[in-house]
Amino acid sequence: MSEIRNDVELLVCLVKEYGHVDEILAGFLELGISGATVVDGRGMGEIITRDIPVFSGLRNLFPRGDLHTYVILSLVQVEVIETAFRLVEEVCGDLSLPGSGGVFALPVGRNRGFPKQPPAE
Amino acid sequence: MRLKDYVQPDSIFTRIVADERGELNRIITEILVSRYEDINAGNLLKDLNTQDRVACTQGDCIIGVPNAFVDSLPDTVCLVVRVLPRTDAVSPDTIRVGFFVISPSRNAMKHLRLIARISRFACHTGFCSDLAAIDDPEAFYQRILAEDEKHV
Repeated sequence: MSEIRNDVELLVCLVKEYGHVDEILAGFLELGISGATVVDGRGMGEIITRDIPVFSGLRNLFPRGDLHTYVILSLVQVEVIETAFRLVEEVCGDLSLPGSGGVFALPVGRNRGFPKQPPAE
Repeated sequence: MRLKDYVQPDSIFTRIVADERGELNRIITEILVSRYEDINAGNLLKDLNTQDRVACTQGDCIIGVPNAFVDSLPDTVCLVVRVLPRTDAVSPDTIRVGFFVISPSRNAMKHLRLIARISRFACHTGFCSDLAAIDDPEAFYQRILAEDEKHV
């Protein structure tokens, strides 16, 4: 049977600069987060302004839309989530600004393949 | 994790004279051997030379993080050095500031986390150049503590 876990959440970070990815992953290690997956993605702004000609002159309506998006996915202990949020904001800057990326966490339902980690010291 | 838990005033050396990394690693090995019993100097030096990594380069200021595992140590130690070249004609990859992280292998996760924190600080503009310019060990220590407080 798959186990429903309440001790972890799926942390999703949307990062616009690759240099920030390095720093966030280093910060994750500090927090005892030893696993994450980084997906090289394209944001809506990038696709619309680059791939759809009719929008190509409207790039300034999509702040930082020309940048790639890197998606960092990690199952994180719930007690570390808030610290991880602060870490991402420290690295990426004010996330309330348009086009600056973002971070959120989702509850995890049934899962397999993610053994429980010992708490970080 | 905080650097202040591992970096103490007596683990800071702001006037280490060395022209290349091998020489610097030899000096640090001698310091560690004089402080801790049962360290095999040859093995430590070999490990430091192998794991002599650069955390970040900012212009001509390079932070190095040589590290090694020594099982006879009671806990992880971090020595921080400011390197003074003898001449201006030093190798371009000579580090200006070094964080030497040495741990017993049972502290592997702690070792990794400490290096991660140092590498994060090293990415920030001004940290290395500030440290490279500070001669006074106490001021050097306070600059590290200030950076430690600044970050999550």
